[in-house]
Amino acid sequence: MEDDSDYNPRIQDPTRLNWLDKDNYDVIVLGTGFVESLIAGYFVYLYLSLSRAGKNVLHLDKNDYYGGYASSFTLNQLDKLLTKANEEKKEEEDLVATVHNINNDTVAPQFKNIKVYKKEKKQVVVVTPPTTTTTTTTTTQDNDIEKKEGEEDVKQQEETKQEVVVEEKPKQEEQLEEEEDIFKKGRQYIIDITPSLIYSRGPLVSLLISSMTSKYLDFKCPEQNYLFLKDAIQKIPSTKGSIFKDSIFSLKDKRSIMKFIDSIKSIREENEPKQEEGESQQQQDDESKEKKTGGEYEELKRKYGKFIEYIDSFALSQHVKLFILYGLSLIHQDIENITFEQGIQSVGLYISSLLVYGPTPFLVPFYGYGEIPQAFCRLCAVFGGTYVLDRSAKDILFTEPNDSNNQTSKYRGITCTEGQTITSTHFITTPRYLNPSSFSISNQFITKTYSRAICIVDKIIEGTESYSFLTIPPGSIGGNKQTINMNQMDKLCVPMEKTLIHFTTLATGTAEEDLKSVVEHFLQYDSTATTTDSKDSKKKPTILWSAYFNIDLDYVKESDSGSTFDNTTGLLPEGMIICSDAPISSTIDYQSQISQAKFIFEKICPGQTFLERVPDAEDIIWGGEDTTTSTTTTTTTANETEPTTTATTTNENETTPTAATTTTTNNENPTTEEHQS
Amino acid sequence: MACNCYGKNTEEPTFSDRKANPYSHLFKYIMVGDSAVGKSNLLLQFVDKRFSPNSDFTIGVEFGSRSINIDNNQVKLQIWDTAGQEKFRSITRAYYRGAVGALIVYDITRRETFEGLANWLTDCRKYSSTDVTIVLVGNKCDLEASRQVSYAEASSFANEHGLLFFETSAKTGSNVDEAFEQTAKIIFERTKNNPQDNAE
Repeated sequence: MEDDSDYNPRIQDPTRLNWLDKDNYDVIVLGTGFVESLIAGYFVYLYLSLSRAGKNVLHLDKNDYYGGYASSFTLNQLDKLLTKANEEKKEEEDLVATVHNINNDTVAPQFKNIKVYKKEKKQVVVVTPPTTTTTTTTTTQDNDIEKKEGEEDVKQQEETKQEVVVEEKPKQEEQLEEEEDIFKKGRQYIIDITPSLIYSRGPLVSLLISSMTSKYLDFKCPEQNYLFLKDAIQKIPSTKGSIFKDSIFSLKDKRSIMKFIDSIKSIREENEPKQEEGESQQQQDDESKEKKTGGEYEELKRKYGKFIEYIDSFALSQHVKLFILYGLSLIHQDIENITFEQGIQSVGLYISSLLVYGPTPFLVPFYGYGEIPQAFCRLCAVFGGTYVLDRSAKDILFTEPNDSNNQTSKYRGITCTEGQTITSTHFITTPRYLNPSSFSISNQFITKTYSRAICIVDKIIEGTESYSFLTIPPGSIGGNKQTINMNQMDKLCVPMEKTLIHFTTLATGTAEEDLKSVVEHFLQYDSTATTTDSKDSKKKPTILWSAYFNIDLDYVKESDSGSTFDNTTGLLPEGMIICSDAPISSTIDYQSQISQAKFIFEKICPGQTFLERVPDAEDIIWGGEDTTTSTTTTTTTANETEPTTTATTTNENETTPTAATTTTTNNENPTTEEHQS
Repeated sequence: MACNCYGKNTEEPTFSDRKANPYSHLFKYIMVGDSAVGKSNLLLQFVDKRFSPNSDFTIGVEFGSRSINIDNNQVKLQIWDTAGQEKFRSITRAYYRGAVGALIVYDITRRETFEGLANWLTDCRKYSSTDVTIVLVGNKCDLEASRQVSYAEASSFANEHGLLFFETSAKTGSNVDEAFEQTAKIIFERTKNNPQDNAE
């Protein structure tokens, strides 16, 4: 996705010059979404642990940006995408299925029911124009801004440009400037298509730390987590003390909240003693599951099938129940039906993640969630993965099913859009890339539709911290049917004096139907129009730009075993694996995506442990002759090394798993001797 | 796949060493430019004073760091390499984040690498922080005989776009330190005057 320029990366002969040097890889991954990138990142492990020769990964994406549905866009990019999607909608519906078994037409994020709003520019009516100019060629600051906006082909702005009368009253100028510069600074916005929640002690953070991928990322801890309760925004307390300070609950309620939290803590301590270490949590989860035989936990589990039944056993008031369900569990899909186990896990994760890096249990990537797949892709590239964006497969090649041989067909390779044929042992992609008429996989995936609203406003919602989350339980505002998450971003991913507010919910109708009443509860479209109730309008932030849209995400159907299917179902040629590209997890944190990547990894590299640590690039130095300067080349060899635990602890003890490299340095883990041979 | 061992390693600042020599500033640099213009070798030359003639593609190189002294301040330069993703112009946007210095490298013996500069410049401006200091580096200036891009032409390109300009040789080490250090000085001056823009 290019911003403003239209550079053409392929000026040369398109037929051969862009062909890859190699035409055989171990693994070809098509699509750079969350799961795909995670898998590719982890194939470095395959590359490292087996002999180096020939083991390699080719990673393609039809889009010219990374991340698919996990991408973050600038305002200008997103606005263009949405506008384009609206225009092309009808054409796409008429598309006839092509003969190719790869379908590249719907690979870019698909938006539906789009409604984009741009705040109209004010037309200042001037009664007596002694000091006004009506031409746009004057060199006032305002005109400069207008011109640049025109260049950025914001048509609407351009049209109104002629009509604008610049009045040289300072107040008016200020107002004009503020309203116009949305697109001028559009590049400074980082807008996530699908924002999510990352727990400080969750599986994703553990993975980022253990794989050292955290060095490519910067994180911030949001300032406050809120819950919409009793018709108002309520803080979710993060310490025992603040629970008791809080005034919305009665003393009795407070005691029962503490009692509940203590019970969760004791259940968790009993069953998952190693959890606190935060490392390779997944493995431990598996182990601890096995250990959980007998004891109080099993008894509770038998007694309470659903988490909600367990909560009910505490005889809590309705508000406390909502507080626990929606404030602390944060599994917002079908929360009434989550199992006891899931509930304990998510509340436990919430509690253990509190105060790790800040007042909220979450971390947010500094430059948007779109950075996460990119970090895993870089990890893969550093270890030898080949990356080609803006290129896809046209066809998948496989042997015809052989009647005498169990009828399974075998995957062989792909034909690139450039014409080159590339073979590989394994091929991994997402349902979106497959032509539905060629592969019948639809019954393996379920599609969930989300309603999204993205609003750019002029200030934060009154009474909230600048960077915060808000959970709105069902039935709170305008009869919302599903839980709505609100994500307010200020001073991060936005230019100065602007605020970005995301609304996300599972769709029950169009995005506008689902979210409009909530959006308008907190925000307003035009501050001047509603002069009658001026008290209210002054408080509410004014929307400068907003977009409603629906998106569909494909999820692997839940099953008891792994959550991914492959050729064992007999639906796909052997060697082909399809994974979900949904960046919003159906479980807490990124657990479901990580499980999927793990499943696929173990499928391809049987016997290898998914979460085993990738050698720390900082630890491994391939150097040469003696030098005297105090320098380091941070490089990595293909030698399998096991960084000491101290190395990780150092890393983990950093304030955040940010570009930890800035301060974590060469650990005393010289692997140099291994290289002297 | 190319060998990624340059040879023996000997020198490595230890943990305690670093504590003894703390730095007051950390600058993230990135390097971009077409394949095989010598980015990794510039890095190697700057941080290790070495040249490795037979290195093929960049594999395993994350970044290199070296501390330099500016006005009695220890400034650590952390120079990131592309991980080979430039080959098909598939560098992640994340790579550019937080960089205060960017080296756009071309090969003076291959004209096409000079022609590609505009695109790299666009990307740097687009994805790096707004006030990134960009340096144009014409590498392989030891190969004068095969020169295809004149100093004057590149210099005027740099002037036109407001870039610093150096011709370097990663092989001989000529001008390599200067390219990195002078950029650092400029960034240092800027951050001194404008502490808020400081590299994080």
